[in-house]
This record gives sequence, structure tokens and C-alpha cells, in this order.
Amino acid sequence: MATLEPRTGRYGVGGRNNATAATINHCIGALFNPHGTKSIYVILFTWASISGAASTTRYVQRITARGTPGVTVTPDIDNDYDALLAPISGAVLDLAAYSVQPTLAPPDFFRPKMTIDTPGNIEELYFGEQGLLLPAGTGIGLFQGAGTAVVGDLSFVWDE
Amino acid sequence: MSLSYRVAGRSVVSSGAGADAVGCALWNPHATMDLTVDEVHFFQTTATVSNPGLVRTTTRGTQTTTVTPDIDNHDERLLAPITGAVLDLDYSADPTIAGPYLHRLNLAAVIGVGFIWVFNRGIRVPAGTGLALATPVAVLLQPGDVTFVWHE
Repeated sequence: MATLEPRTGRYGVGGRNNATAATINHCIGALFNPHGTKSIYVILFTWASISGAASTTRYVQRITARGTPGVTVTPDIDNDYDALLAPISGAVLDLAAYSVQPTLAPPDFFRPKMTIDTPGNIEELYFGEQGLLLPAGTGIGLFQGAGTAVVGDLSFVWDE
Repeated sequence: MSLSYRVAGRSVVSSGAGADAVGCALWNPHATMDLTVDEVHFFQTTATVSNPGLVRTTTRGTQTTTVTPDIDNHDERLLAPITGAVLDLDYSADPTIAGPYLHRLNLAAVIGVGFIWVFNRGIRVPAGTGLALATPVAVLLQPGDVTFVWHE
């Protein structure tokens, strides 16, 4: 088991994706760690849909290549819970619609389904205070589990 | 002694329909002392969709409604906040926000929908800055009952 690295800070970032194509396995958004050597630890993930689509599913999965996102939110010092330092890892929040999809590393972590995807429904995935380790050059994304386009607000909290 | 505080109030609808309009904020006016926010609660009081996001502020703006916590807002009822932290609930001129947003959600058009954000490690609010609920998109942020919990 890898030795956990010392952590210097906790970060949070949120954003809203643009509509994905109505295609299964398309990425809605992802936290990607582009650093060459440094790992990060995902503490919390939340998703709040605004699309109101019926019978949608989504799943959370690791990614091994970033793909080409439609929009990227780049966290800075204001996203540090201590307001001291921009993320050393350079971690970013990528949002749909992707022109090149990220590379999935199955199987799924988490696969919620809502019979009707009512606006404001909130899904939350808490990995505990130790967090889910994201090695350098990898990420974790939210993907469409059905051929239904969804739009919503995606937030990640992580340590590094 | 723990210097843990909580304060609550009802915000009004954000001014204007532009993106980044602020609904309410905890402002730390102290010149040198930081505070750390542990929880933010918000429950909407209108049946209209809303898109609250959590974001830092670097100026207070011009507030028209403010709750000033005193000794009764201290969990141990011993001391008013040393920082002088206040809860601003309405503005004639909005604070200056410092994005990107830390967290985002959206709320359905139902009275009483809301959330409780718990920050296990706390979010530090440096002296002379604030932490606000604002709308990241060009949709009015609806009024609601808001609570900030912090320590200093």
C-alpha cells in the first residue's frame, strides 16, 4: 500500500456543465490531477441536477486520460479552505461537453439512479477524511449511465 | 474556552438578475484576526428555482440589513465575537467576489428546500474578507433562512 503523502491543504471547487450529447458513457465533469508526481485525495463529491430528465442514471469512475473538456474551472488561492495557496497539483474541474472523452478505468465506484431527475436533487459521495487517492495524471469523473443528456452543478472537495 | 459562534437570519432576493449577485455573507471586519467557517445552512423561503454557490468576498459592499452577533451567539455564552463578524443579508451595492466558486448547488422551486454544508476542516476567512452565498448564473438567488457557524 502506498505511503500517504503529507497534506498541505483542503480545496473545493464547483461548476456547471454544458449539455452533453445524449450518449451513454459521456462524461459530465471530472476532477483531474495533471501533476507529474503528486497525488491528491478526494474527500467529497456532490451533484445537483437541473435538467429534469426522466429515468437517468449516472456513475462515478476513475479516468486515466483527461480527454478534451468543453469548459475548465481552474482553482486558485480562493479555493483553498485556508486561503493560503493555489493547488500545487494544478488540479482542475473539467466540464462537459467534451470534444474528446476521458479514458475510463472501470468498474464503477458509485451508480445512482433517479426515476425522475428532479431539478435540485442532490447526490453526495463522501470518501471519509482519509479520502480517495487520485494518483498523478489521473482523475475521477461523473458519467452518463444512459443515453440521456443531463446538466447540473458539480462540486469536488479534495486534500493535497 | 471554545470560541464557537453561530448566527442566523433571512436573506432577501439577490439584487439584479446578473451572475455573481450576492444573497448574503458572513463578513470578517477585523484588521488582523481570521475566523474559520464550520457550517453553512440555507433553506429557501420561496417556490422559485435558485442556484446558490459558496464564494469568497474581498469587500463588504454596502449592506442594508445586518445581524450583529453578540454574547448570545457564543456557544458558551461568554463572549461576543472578537472579530466583530457580522451576517449581511441585503445590499444596495454587492460585495466583490473572489472566485472560482468553492461549492455549487441548485435548488428546486419548493419552499423549504435547502442544504447544510459541514466543513470538517473549516474554511478560513482571513481578516477583512468574507464568505458569501451568491448566484453563479444569471438567475435571481432566492431569499432564505441562512445560518453560519464559525470559530475564531
